[in-house]
Amino acid sequence: MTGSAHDELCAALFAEHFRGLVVLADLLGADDAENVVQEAFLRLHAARSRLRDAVAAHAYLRRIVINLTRTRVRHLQMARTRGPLPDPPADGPEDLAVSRSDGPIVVQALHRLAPRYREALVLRYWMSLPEKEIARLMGVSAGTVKSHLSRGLDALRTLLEEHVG
Amino acid sequence: MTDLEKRLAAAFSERDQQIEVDPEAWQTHLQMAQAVSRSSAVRRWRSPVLVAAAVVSLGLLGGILGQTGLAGLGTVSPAGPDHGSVAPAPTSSPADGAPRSTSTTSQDIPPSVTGSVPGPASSDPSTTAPSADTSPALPPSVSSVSSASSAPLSSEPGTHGGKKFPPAAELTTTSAPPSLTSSPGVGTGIGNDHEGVVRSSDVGTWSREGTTTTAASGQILLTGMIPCGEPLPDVHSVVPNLTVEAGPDGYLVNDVRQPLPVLAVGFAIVTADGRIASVTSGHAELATVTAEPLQQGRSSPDHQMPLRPTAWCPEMTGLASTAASHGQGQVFRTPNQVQLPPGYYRATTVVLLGEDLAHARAYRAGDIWQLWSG
Repeated sequence: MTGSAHDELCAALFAEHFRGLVVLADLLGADDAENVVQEAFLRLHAARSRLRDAVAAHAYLRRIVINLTRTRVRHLQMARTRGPLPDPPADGPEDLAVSRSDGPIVVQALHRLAPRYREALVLRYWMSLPEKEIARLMGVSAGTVKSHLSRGLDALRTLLEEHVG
Repeated sequence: MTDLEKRLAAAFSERDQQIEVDPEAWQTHLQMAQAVSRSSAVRRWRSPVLVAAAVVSLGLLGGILGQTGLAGLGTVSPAGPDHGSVAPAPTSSPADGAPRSTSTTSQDIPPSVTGSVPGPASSDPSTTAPSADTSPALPPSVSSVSSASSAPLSSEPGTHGGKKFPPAAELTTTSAPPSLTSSPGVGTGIGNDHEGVVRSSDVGTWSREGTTTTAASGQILLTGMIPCGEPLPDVHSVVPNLTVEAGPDGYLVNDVRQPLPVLAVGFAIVTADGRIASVTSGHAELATVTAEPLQQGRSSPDHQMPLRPTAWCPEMTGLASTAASHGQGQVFRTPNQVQLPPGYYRATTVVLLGEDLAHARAYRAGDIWQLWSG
């Protein structure tokens, strides 16, 4: 792939997938999702000589985002063990009134799951990826993905019940 | 799908809608990605650049070392544009009796350095591929730089502005023809085609040792010293019969014994017609390096020629907007994220000569190297 072709490919990937990848990184727990995705694109650009086509590039990007988010989440976990992070800004009354769904609660509970469960759930229920693709992205077997999904849902249910309780 | 799975999917969708991304952000990110990527690409040929710079600088300073008569060789090897490749008659003999090479030319520059080839400034890059068999063949007296340190030194001092050269550094002049020969095919459109790097017929080779040990403890920016876009004259055309570089101050002395302190050696990207497009900094402290490393000719791998990103010619774009750098994890940087377009570039070593920085002038020293950035 020539340099100009790669630039065009990068531009197309940016236009089509940047936002989705930001959401993916966010759901996976990255606190700086845009930076994660930006870094992923930088790595994609650096690896342009090895890219075959747009499909491969997208898969490569997704994999990088997942890996980078893992690293970021691990870093955040380490940071939390060394000291409490500042509390996120509390929603005001207006926000609580407007927010009638329990989406934020679910996402908050999701972020308390183990990373492997969170990844499996996000890839399955947000990206709607088949288990085989999830297994490839996570670097595990399909059976492990099934296990992660099942245990992740159980853990999530428990957390939500605790919240309600 | 269970209720929990539906809640999860709904929560994801809701979160998706909450995340706001600037629709134009991707363009900014893309530009940044491309800029960083190109910086990486530049980084890949940074080493050849540095090698080229080091080789050229070594040639210059090595030749200077040889001309200083560090080994008690009073011989000078003037480098002039209008001379042939006749070796000057030595005024003394090396202490170790090592054979001398008297016809080293700029072709001794290793053009096979990956990614950089010396070539004609106006030639087609595709036709300037380096030849592997042109790598330098150092004569047996290569080690004479270091061995020269024990050799007796001439005691004829030179002066510079009331400042005496150290007695250990011999200042000799000569009317002998220079030992530099032209570098075939190398031309910048300025000066002459004799782009041979200063060499010493005494030492008989490029000095691979002893020059980069003079790593500057402090560096200056050549920016401002060399106006962007200005022609870069050949140091040989300005300092005819370059004869002596002696002692701790790293002077270049011409045949009238007018000392020209070497204030700095740097690296510059030049245009096809030999004008400076972008300048890096170099050795600012060459004028204050001690004699010991020069005379002993030691080479320390951790004292490679430092090149720092410095100059940037605001009135120029593209080619001019980059600066070479080295060390401290620095890479080619383009202020304001101006990208360095892929392509061939030419770079050369520049030497800053003058009484002081305020009156310094820069000259090209050595070949112009062709570099690829992609």
